[in-house]
Amino acid sequence: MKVKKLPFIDKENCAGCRVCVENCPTDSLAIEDPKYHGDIHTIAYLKNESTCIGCAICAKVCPIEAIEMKGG
Amino acid sequence: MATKYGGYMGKVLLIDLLKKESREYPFSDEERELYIGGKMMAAKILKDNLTGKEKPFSDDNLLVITTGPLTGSGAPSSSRFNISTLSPQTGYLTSSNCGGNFGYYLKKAGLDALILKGHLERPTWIEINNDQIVFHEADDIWGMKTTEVQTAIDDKLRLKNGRVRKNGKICIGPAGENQVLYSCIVSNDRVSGRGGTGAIMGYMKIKAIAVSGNKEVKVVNKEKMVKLTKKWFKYLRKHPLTGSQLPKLGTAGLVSAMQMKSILATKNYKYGQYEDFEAVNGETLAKEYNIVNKGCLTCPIKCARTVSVEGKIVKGPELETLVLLGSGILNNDLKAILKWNYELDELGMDTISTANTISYAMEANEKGLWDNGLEFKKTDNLSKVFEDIAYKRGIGEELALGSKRLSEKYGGKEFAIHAKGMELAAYEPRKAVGLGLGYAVSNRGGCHLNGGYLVILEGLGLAINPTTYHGKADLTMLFQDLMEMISASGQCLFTSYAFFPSPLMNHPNSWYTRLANKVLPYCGFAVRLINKYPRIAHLHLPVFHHTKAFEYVTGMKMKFGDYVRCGERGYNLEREVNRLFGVNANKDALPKRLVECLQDAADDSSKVPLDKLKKIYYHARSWDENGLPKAKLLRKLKIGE
Repeated sequence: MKVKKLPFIDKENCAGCRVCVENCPTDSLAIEDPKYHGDIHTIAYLKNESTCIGCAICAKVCPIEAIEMKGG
Repeated sequence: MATKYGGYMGKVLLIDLLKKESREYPFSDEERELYIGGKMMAAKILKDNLTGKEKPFSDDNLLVITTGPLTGSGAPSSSRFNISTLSPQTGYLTSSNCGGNFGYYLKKAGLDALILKGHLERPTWIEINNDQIVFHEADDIWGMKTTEVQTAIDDKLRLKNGRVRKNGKICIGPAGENQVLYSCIVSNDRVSGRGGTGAIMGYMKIKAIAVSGNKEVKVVNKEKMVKLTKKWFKYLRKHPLTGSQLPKLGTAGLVSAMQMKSILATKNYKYGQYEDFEAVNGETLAKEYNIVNKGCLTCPIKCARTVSVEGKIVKGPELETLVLLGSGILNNDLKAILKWNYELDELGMDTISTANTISYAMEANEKGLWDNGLEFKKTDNLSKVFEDIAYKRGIGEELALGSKRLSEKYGGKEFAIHAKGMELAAYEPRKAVGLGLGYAVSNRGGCHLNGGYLVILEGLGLAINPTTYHGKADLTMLFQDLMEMISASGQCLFTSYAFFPSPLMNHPNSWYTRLANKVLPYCGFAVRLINKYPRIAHLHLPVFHHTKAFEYVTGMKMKFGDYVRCGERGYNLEREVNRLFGVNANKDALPKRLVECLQDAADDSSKVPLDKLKKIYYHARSWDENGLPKAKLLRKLKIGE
């Protein structure tokens, strides 16, 4: 059985630029809510693992290659 | 036309609305090298198609929507697009830049630019999906406000699986439909605000444009670009302006500094300070009303903010709105400003020009020139006044003309605060005279950004002598050219804030910052050397990542000097378009209040020495005494060949 790969986000480098979110065909990614006012360290996360189809578009479009697809 | 360069999609599309036909507009690689993208590309297209006889509201005018080569490349803050046209407000070229995601999707649809010409008979919205263009009747959405219409179009773009097709949109509100001279174009909750672009879209009978696609922007040196972007993101997030002040307070954070420096436009620019400024400053906004800060697509700075208005989470006001609807009209009710900001965005009206037109009208009423019922401090009726402007009802029909035209009718030209017909931004320039020069010479009219934004040196970042003329003209030229190029590349101008070394910002009272403040105005010679011979700066500056990014994305050579030269070409090109429509030194003017009346009676220098500044500026730019580029300069810049 083929196992779906899921995006793993490099928390250290992700700048929360939202390019992956904008390109996700199933709206499975989101940007964290700011933890305090003026928080710019909000990063992308997989909000819905079940709708993610493992297409890897997010990894492809990330401008700093901060997303890696890993076996489920 | 296909391109050998990265960053570009290689296609400019012209839609002839009268024929409902589209065709590719030729734009060659040679032109890309010279005119880059964004407002510069648009100026080139306008220059090649206008003769000087066209009227803004006519089928000969063009609405040119452009991206830059970095738009969609993944570079920080690079989702921007530009809209240029012959402005109904000024009669000259206007260029208006916008965040959001429309530019990003224009590239995904395979387009570097979209040109609209002519008009449609019936209200229409246009759908562009990759190479497919569909004209849809818009009778059902004509009349809608800007949020409602964008939601309605999303519904129309719903796929079989129930999801909305990913898209970017621009639209107009009722003000644009009714061709209010300062109506704007809205994209998500971002606004292409200045110069009346919305009125031109309204004339064309286009309610909205939605673009989508699945094309990719090619990055020539991907490996290096990824590395640079990673470093750049970190740099922006650490810098005191882009990593702290802007995210925490947004542009609104400048209100207190403006008060301190006496540059807070108050009571229609009569004063530079407002006694109730704390009620309407960024700190109060952040403490009392802000919900979260957020950013445009691709932006790590996240300077925008959301607030709650009547139970809805909406965009909060930018500095200009806060000041001009606050101190500008002597209003200390911040909650009212949040509501008006939302209402004006929904109506699709430029908050700057609306507020300044209102403050002109209030003063005209106060002086007995025009009995219009508007009074400073009396603000309970303004929501209705804004609606009246958008629908051109009652007094709104007159206010829709803007302060220049009203002052010609009712008098009070000395306090109609505009340049070339477009109202000034929120900085009172008598205590920041370099910005005063910028307002006057700016190609699109009273704009702080197109004017060079020298106020960042005159009190808001550094603190050079704000009222001296020394060095201001040369610095204005350098800053104008740099910002011209950042904008043309497709990036947000806020990325340039990080150009100022952090230690100077973090330690304003240190010996080195004080030294920089003292010395900078007398560096005119060095600045002029770079302005005259930019190729001596044939290098990448360590704090200015834009040039490297440009090279890695496009594959073109672009050192700092080349960057400045390209910006200079763009600035002169816009001036050349305006020359066709009669711009000259007389048009580079400010109202008497700012150039003849002292802001502070005890300070002889507290007015804009505009004639002196213009003379030095024209000389620095190699323009003649009439404020027009000399033939030799045009040849050097390869304009008009």
